[in-house]
Amino acid sequence: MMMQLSGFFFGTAFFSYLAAAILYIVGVTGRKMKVESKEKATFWTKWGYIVMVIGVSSQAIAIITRWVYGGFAPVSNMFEYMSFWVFTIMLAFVVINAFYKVHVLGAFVAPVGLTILAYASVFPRDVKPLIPALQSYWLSIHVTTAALGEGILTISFAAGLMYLLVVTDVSGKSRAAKFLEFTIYLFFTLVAFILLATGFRGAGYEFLAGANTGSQLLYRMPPLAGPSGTDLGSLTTMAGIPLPLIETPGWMHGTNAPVGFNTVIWTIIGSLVLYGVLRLIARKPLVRVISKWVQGLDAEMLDELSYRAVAIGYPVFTLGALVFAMIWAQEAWGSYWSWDPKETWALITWLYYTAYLHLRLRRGWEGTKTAWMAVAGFVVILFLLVGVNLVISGLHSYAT
Amino acid sequence: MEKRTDLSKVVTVVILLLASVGILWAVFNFQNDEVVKLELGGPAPDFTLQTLDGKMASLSDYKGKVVLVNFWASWCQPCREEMPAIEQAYETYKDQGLVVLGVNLKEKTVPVQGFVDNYKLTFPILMDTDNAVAIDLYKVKPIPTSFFIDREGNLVQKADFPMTFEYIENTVKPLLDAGR
Amino acid sequence: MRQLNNEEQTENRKGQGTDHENQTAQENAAQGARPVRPVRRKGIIESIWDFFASVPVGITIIALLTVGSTLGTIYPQENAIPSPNPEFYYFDTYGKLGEIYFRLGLSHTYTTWWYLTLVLLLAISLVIVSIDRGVPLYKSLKNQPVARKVLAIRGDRLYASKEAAGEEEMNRLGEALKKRRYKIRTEQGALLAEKGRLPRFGAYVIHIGLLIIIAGVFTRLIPGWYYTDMVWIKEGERVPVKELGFSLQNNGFELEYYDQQQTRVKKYETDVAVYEGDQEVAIKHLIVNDPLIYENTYIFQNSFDPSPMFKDGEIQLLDKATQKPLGTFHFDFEDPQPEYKVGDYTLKVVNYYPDIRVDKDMGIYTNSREPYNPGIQFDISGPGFAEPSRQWMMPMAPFVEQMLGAEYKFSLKFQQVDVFHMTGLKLNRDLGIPIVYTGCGVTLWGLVLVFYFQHRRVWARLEDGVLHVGGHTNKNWLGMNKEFNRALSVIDVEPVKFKKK
Repeated sequence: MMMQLSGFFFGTAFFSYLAAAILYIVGVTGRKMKVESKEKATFWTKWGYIVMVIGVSSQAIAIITRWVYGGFAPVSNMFEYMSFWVFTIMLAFVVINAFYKVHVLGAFVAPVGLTILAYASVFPRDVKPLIPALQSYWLSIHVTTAALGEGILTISFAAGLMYLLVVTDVSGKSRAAKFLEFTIYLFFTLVAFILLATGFRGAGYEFLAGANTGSQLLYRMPPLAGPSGTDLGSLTTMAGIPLPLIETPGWMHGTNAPVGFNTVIWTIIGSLVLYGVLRLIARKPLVRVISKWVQGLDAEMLDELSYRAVAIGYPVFTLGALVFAMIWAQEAWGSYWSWDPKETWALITWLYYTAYLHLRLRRGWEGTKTAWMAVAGFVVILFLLVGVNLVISGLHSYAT
Repeated sequence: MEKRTDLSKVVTVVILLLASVGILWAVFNFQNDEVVKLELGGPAPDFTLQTLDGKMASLSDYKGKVVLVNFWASWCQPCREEMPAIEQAYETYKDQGLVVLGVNLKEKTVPVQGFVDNYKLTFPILMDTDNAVAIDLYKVKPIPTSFFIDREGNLVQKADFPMTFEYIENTVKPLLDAGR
Repeated sequence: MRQLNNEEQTENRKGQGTDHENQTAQENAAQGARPVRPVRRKGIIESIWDFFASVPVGITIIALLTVGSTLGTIYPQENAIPSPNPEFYYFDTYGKLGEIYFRLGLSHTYTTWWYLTLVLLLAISLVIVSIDRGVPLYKSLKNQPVARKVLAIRGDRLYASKEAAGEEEMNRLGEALKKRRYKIRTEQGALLAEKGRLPRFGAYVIHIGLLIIIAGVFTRLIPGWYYTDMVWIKEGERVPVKELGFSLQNNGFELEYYDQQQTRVKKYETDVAVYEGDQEVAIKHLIVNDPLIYENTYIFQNSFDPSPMFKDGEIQLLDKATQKPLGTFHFDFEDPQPEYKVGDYTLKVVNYYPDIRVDKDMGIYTNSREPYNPGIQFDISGPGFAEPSRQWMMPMAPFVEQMLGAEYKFSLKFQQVDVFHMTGLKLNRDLGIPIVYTGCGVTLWGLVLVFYFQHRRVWARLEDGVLHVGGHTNKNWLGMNKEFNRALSVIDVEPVKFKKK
C-alpha cells in the first residue's frame, strides 16, 4: 500500500518535472519572451514554476511514504540516492527562485534534474532491507545533508552556465563558444547514455560472454567491444552484424573493463547520433539556440546567484558530506577517515569549492572565470556521486 | 610596537618550520619503527618449548653445536617445499654437530605429527603454541624463516625464503668447521 | 576592505626596520642552518612570511592537494587491497599501470612525503595568513574612530540625512539601534553603532578549526595515543592484544541473512568480553554501528569470515557391509586426539588436514590452520581385521570413497556437527578524536559566521544642524537596508535605497 502510494507520487513527480521542463523551455523559447519584460515571468514560466512546486511536493510525499514502508530513510542505494539528489536540486531551485525570480533558471534546472532522475530509474528500484553497516540513524542524517549541499551546489552550476551563455558571444568562433558547445554536447552524452541504458534494460537485453569459461561477463548492451583475446565477430550478432567489432585493449585490466569499455563506445556513438540529429534540426551550433533563451537576462544577477548558491551550499556540504560522514565512519568503521574513494572525492569536492571561494573572495575572480569553475564543479559533483560508484569501488560500494 | 611585530613573525615562522620538520621526521620514524629487526651477530635469544613428543627443549641445551632454527607451518607452501632439503642437511651434518630445531607455529599435535610422518622428519619439532618465540622473540614476519646459530650461540645468518640444500650446506659448513 | 589592505601594507613596511632585538631572534633561528650574511637574514624570514601569507600560494597548495588526492583514488590504496603483498597485487590485478602506480608510491598516496608536506604547508599557510590578516583587522576595528568625516559618510552606500536635527535625534537613533542589538559608542556630535564584529573573523575561525583538525590527526604520533588493529576471534577463543594490555574473548557469534540464498546479510553480532589478566572487565553484545568502549579503546564489530568452520561433532562408525552401527565418538576439529576408541575398535588418526586440498602437482596439503574443510585419515583396527583399514573422511566431500575409487570396510557418518564463524573486530584507540571533533565544530561555526552572519555598522554625525547617517555591511545589503530604514523611521527619515556598487 505504502509502496504503491510512493510509486504513484514518484510517477507524479517525474511527469511534473517533465511538464515543468517543457513549460519552461517553451516559455523561454516562445515568442512572448521577446516582447515582454525579461524579468517578468511569462504565462508559461509561471505555470512551469507551479508545476515544479507540485513535482517537489509529490516527490516529498513519495520519499516519506517509501521511508514509512522501508522503515529507514530511502537513500540507501543508487536509485534512492540519485532521486533524492534530484529532489534537493528541485527544492533548492524552488526556494531560491522564490527570492531571486530567475524563471529562466528553471529551463536549465528542470531538464538537468529530469535527466538525472531518468538515470536513477535505470537502477533497481525495489526497497532492499539494509545491510548491518547501514543500520544507523546516521544514514538519514549524513546522506540527506550531503545531498542537500550537492543540490544547492548544482544550482550554482546552472546559474554559472546561464551566465556564460549570456556573456559569451556565440555568433563567432571564439574559444569560449566552442567550450560552451562542448559542455552542451557533454550534457547530451549523459542523455544518450541514459537513453541507451534505459532502452536496453527496458528491452531486457542481456548477453553473457564467456558463459562456459571461468571469466564471465554480463553485457547489458550488445558487445561492440569484446574481452581482449576474443576473436572478432565470434560472440553474437546484432541485426545480422557479427560482434564484437573490436577488442578491448589489454591494458584495461579491471575485471569488468570490457563491459565498461563497451558502454563507453555505445555512449559515444549514441551521443554523436543524438547531437548530430539535433544539430541537423537546428542547423547551427546548439549553443546559439540555447543562448537565445537567456538573452537579455541580468548577467550580474546570475553571477551573484551562482556565487550565492556556493555560499549556501558549501557549509551544508561541509556539514553533511564531511563532518557527519566522519562521525558516522568513526562509529561504523572504527575510523573517522579511511581514505575510501567516496570520502576522498568528498574532500576533493570540498577543496575544489574552497579554491573557488578563495579565488572569488580574496582574488576578486568574478564573472566568466568563476562561472566556468561552477560549471566544472558540477562535473566534480557528478563524479563524486556517480562516477566513484561506477568506476572505483570501495567501502561505499554497497551503495550501488 | 615595531619590535614586537617583527619578533613575533620570526618566532612564528621558526616554530612553524621546526614543528613541520619535526612532524615529518616523526611520521617517517614512526613508520620505520614498525619494522623491528633482530640484530644479527649478537647472542641468539634463548627459549624453551615443548617438543612434539611431549618433552621440554631449550635452545641453550644445544650450546657448542651449530643450530638451525626453522620456523614453519604445515599450511605454508614454501615451508613444505624446503622441508626435504632441511631434512637432508640434518642427516648429512648431524654427526658433525648440526642440530635442526623445527619450530612449528601454533598448530596442533595431530596434524603436525601427520606432517612429520609424511615428510619423514627426524629432527626435533618444537611447538610454539602462541607464536611467542616466533613473533615476540625472533620477530619473524614471513614464513619460512630460518636462523643459523654458531657454536658460541650467536646469530649468524637469517633466511626468510625457502632454502635449498646447497644454501644450507654453504652456510653451515664454515660454522661447523669453526670452533673445532 | 581596501582600508584594511593599506593597513596591512604599513604593517609590512614597519617590519622592514632593523633593530637589535630582532636580529638576536633571527640569529637564534638561523642557528644550525647554513651561515647567511647578516644583511640577508631579515629578508629570508620576511620572504618566508610573505610567501605563506600570499593568497595565490595558499590557493596553489589547495589545488595541489586536490590533484594529489585524486591520484590516490585511481587504484585502491594498500590498506584496502585484499592481499598482504602489494608488490605483487598491483601488477597482478592492474597490469603494467598498476606496477607503475605501486612503484611511484601512489598505492599509499596519503602517507607519502609529498602529500604530508603539502598538508603541513597548508597548516603553515593557515597560521600565517590568519595572523597576517586577522591581527591588523582586529586592531583596526578596535581602534576605529567614532567620528568619521561627513564627506566619507556621504559616500557610504547607505546614506540618509535629517535637517534641523540635534543631539536628541542622534540619541533617539542610538536607542533604536541599541534595541536592534547594536553596540553604541558616542562622542561629541558623533555616533558609531556596530554589531556582528565576530563574523568578520569567520574566515580565521575556519582556519583555526582546520588547524585543530590537522593537529588532532597528527596527535597519533604521540606514543600511546593511537593504536588500531584488526583481530579475528573464533567462538570461545580469547585473543590477547598485547599493545593494549587486555584480551578479547568471543563468547558467541550470530549471523543472519535476509534470504535463503544467503546473499544479503541482515546482522552479525558478537558477545564479546574484555579480560584484564583473568578478570572479566567488560562485556557487550556487539553489533555494527555500536562499539564497546573500554578505557578509550573502541571495539567495533567490523566484519566476519563468511566461510563456516567445523567445530566438533559426533561421528558414527558402521560396518559398511551390514550397515550395523558399531558406536560413536566425539571429534574436535580444532584439536583432534591421536586415537579414538569405539567399543572394540580403535581409530588412529594418521593424518589430519584442517583445510584439505588435493592437487595433482602439490599432493595433499592443508591450505590454512583453520578447519574450513577438514580431512581425516583413520587407521581403523578391531576384532576380525588382521590389517587396520585405512580410510579418508571429509565432511565437505561425503563421496570421497567413490572419488578415490577405494573400497572401505567401514562407514563413518557425521551425526551432528557444529560449525562456527570467526568474528572480525576492529580495535581503535585514538585519543585525538575529541580534538578532531572540536576542530570540526570550530570550522562549522566559522562557516556559519562567514556565510550566514554579517558585520553591520552605522555612523551618525552632526554638522551644522544636519544629522548625516551612513550604513555599511559586509554582505546582505537588502537586509541591512531594511534595518537602516526602520531605525531611521524613529526620527522620521524617509526610507532610502542603497546605492549599487
